Amino acid sequence: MASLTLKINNKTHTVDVDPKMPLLWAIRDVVGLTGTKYGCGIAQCGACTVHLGGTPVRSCSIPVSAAANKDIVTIEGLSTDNSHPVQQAWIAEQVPQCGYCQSGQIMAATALLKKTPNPTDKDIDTAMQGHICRCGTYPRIRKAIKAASQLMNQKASIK
Amino acid sequence: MKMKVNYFVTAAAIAATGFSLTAFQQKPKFDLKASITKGKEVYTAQCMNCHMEQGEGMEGVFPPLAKSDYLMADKKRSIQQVIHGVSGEIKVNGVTYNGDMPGVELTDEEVSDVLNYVRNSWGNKGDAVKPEEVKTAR
Repeated sequence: MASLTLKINNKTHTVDVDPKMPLLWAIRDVVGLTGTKYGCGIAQCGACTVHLGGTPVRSCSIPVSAAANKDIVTIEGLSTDNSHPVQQAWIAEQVPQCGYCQSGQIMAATALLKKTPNPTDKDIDTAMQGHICRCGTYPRIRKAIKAASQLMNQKASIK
Repeated sequence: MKMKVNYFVTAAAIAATGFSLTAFQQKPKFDLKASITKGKEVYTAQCMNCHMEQGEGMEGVFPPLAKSDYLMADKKRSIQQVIHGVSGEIKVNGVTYNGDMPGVELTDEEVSDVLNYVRNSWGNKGDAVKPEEVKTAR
């Protein structure tokens, strides 16, 4: 066991855990943020995606010690009221079906839009390829990413 | 005598045809640059989540590909590892890693492309991995 500092969604948490514990365990079971989901456990499905230092990572496959003192953003950190453009687009396009993979999908989409504000279909497919949706909501995910891109561009032009 | 001459002429003609045919059938030179470009797409989709955009990996968790002694030491091993994955202890640039990388389902060409990309990016420089080499490695 070790005492580690986790900075999740701009809040500091001190956790006393095995340093080898997957970050996902710490986020869900220790800190209590259950928006991030456990899918495959081997970094293949994308359900557990969070941002670590601004980069999307698979929290199931990273030991908590590797995330200590770095900025972690989970789905709960995007906004407190679903007002993030990606969340807004997701609601408008009614993307989720069962919803299990969607936290990961949204985190990946947010990271994509930060890097590529106007993604093409190909950009979207490449960036989202590692995110599996058993309900097959892929066409709606793509549509929502485009809608979110527009929302973000509008917001930027108003500013 | 006449027969003999004809025989030689025919033989020479066949040989010449054979040579020119092999000359025509020779495959165009492998385009490493094009393969690297295609490989970047495969990398972005399949590898980047762990090995990161600049191949830096994550210290102690995911081994780096950038300037990696382990990667560049053995081309054949890399082909096997992309196809079948890696598990157990490995030492990369002096740091021991003990994780699991699942194999990736890719075509021979995609395996060659992605390896050409990582073997020729971020300070790495390696000779081309051709799809045929991947095929024989399977």
